[in-house]
Amino acid sequence: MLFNSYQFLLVFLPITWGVFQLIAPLRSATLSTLWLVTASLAFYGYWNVAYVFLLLLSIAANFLISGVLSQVPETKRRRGKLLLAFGVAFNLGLLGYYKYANFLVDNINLATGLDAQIVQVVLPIGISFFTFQQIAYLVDVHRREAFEHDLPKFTLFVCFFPQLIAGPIVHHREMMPQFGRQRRSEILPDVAVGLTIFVIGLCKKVLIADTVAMPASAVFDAVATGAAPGFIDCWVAAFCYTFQIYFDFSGYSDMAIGLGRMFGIRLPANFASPYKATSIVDFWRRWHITLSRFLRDYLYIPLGGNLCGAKRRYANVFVTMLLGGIWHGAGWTFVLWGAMHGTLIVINQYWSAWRKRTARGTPRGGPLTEMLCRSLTFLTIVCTWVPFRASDLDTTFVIYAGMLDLGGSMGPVLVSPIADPTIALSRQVAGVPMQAIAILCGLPSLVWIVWRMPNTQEIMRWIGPATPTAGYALANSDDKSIAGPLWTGSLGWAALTGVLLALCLGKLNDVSEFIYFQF
Amino acid sequence: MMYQNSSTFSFKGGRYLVCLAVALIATLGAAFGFSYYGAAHGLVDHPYQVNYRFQLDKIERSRPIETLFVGDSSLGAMLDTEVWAQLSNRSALHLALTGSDGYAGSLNMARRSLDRLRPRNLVIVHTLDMMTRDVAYVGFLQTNPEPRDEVGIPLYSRVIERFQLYTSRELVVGTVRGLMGKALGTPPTQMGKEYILLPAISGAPTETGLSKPPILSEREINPRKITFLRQLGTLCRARTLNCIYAHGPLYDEVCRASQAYLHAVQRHILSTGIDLVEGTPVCVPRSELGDAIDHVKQDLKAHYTKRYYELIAPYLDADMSQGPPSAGVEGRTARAVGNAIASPARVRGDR
Repeated sequence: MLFNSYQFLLVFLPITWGVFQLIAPLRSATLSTLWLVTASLAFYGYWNVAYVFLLLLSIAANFLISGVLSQVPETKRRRGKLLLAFGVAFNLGLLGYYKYANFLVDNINLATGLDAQIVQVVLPIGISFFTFQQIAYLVDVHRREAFEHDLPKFTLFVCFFPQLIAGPIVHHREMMPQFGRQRRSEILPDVAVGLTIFVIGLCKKVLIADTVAMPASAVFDAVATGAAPGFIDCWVAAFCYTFQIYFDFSGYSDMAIGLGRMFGIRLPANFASPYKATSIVDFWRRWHITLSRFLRDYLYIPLGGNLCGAKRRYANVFVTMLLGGIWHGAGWTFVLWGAMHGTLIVINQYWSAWRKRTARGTPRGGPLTEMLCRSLTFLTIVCTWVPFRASDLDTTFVIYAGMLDLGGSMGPVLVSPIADPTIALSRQVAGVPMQAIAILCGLPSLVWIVWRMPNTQEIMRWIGPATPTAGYALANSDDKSIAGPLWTGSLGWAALTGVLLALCLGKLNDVSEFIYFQF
Repeated sequence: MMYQNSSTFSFKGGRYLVCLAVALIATLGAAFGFSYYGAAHGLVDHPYQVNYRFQLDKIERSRPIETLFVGDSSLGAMLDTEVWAQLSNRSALHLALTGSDGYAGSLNMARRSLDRLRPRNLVIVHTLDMMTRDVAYVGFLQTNPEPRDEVGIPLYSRVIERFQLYTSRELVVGTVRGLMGKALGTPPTQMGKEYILLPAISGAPTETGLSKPPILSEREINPRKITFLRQLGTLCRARTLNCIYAHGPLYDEVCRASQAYLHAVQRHILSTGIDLVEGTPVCVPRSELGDAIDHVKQDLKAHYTKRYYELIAPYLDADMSQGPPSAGVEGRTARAVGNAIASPARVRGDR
């Protein structure tokens, strides 16, 4: 079930929230938890009932393993480690089978000339997210930092519907204390705040991401089927996809945070204006924060982090980003994407270290320097999204060739109408196709939005809509430098939110999935 | 960092939510009322609407005919009824809508025209991937000649689809355009032309982008999709009409790669009681494709009309009680499935 569907908005959400509030006066945290678990499983099962059992199997197994793990005395460290390794292997095995088995067999066949076949399996939606969440939990139990005796609560921690499918990837310690804690006086304010955040996210998805997806998909899909687009096409497609993925995923995260808030639960922030980043390292402090946090805490640091010398640190960074890329999907395009980011971060870190070593220090942060750094970082990010979007490496290289003006014959997107015919973008104004005007005006406007406008956390900073993550960028309520609108809870904001929600509802007849659902 | 929690709110959540709800309802109500007014007064200037009204106008201008065609753009882009009339020596008319109107659009165009046109044959032509699409409830509501007759549409869908339809950006924007004076009454076409290819589609890239065509899979079939096709079958039987189904022309690479799908689709169609034309889809080489993989080039319309005539002619004027001269209904439909799978018709350089 999609957040941006009528089924969710008009049926699932009102029923789930209504029953949750009906149960609340009974002051039974267990009952509330059980209801949310039931609703979350129904939410998941709407997509494919069979995989509810897989989800439950995964939860039950991890609950059992964590139970045994918590009983292992501190003196028996080896036994604990073995048990943890078993738990991690179980989770990775599940993920590997459903997500990577086909990819692996295909590549073995390609390399060896064999014709091995395995059963084609459909990827269970959200498996990457709930698997990572449970691996983190097992590690925390092993470290004596967490343990949950209550199965319904643990189940809800894993499958709470706002974050089940595409994150944010939550930590046990930030979720468990919040279940069943909503006070009576907070219900309406929480719904008001949650709904406002949800609508902001819905607008990002429905009004922006789905719109810029059209030119991006037109070019990428055409290339995937053999076309060779030209310079303008490729750049327009790369820029459009850059905005599509940001507004799509950050929109989803906002919706998840808003939904959580309606049930009195604050989820962690996942985005902090990533395209305002002035370096690649900065970008990863702002993009998909909960994944970065997971990779840092459960991969980069266990690999040795930055404590084993510069070379080892660079290797650790590279491996972490490479695996982060592979986490996104089973394909060489994701391997390439991860490797590109790993390399870029290594270069960034090496450059910073070199400046320190040669006593040059950090570059002076004048507005011009900042703008230069931001522009360079942004352009680099635009280029790295190409393999992420492309269906295969061939497509990636054709798009890159087009961006370098090394080929391509397909008519430019700007003058060759490719968009949804129902919106009549092919019409002309003074001889110029509406589509060209829309793109020429739209892309700079979007650059302005992602560079100059505050993000959702900043707009709502007055009430701290999401939990911050240590070490990652997030606005705080004391920051006076943030320009732009500030949500005040006024009736004007309420009316604006209502109008925006109406605009989104009017566009839900062409409902589309979120990009991160495929991961 | 200080984060105030919700217990310190100074705003009234209840008042905020009431105001939000009022704004939401007012905006939706205004959009609904506005586009309902536009639709009711024929003001909507929308590419699909323009063609739809054009087809309605054709019904009004036509006299009784022998063969009526309904379907989607694969039909509209392919059929030249003048050529058909010359070949068959019988009158013909097509009322092609678009793929988004689906089988519902074909059903309603038949319902709208049968009394006036009194055809003996009704030929239904849809593109092959039609069975993978959602049931076209919106298409049904948009083209329904009897607003009180919404049999077969679940109540939930009726409410939601109508809500979707009248609050949709397309209808609101279309009504604005209509009110601005670019509306119907002056459709952007010459009279005599049979189908309005949408401007955006007609400008789409054609020659490139086809080396890795989509493969239609049996798993993609939406079993509910035949809802309106089944109603069409019922209508045919009630009117003792000779109803025939043919797949529209399709890019030959897709034909080749989608045989299992084709087989499954044939079974679904036959279950509605409508007869199937063997040898369809006519598979089109890349060089003869128009602006989409199921549209032929416009200068080849006469050729493809002839090709389809050759395939469909044996099924025309059939006496429903006795079946075609060469085979019974069962034998014929079985042959249709078998032949379509074994050797999809090819039209390559035989003009």
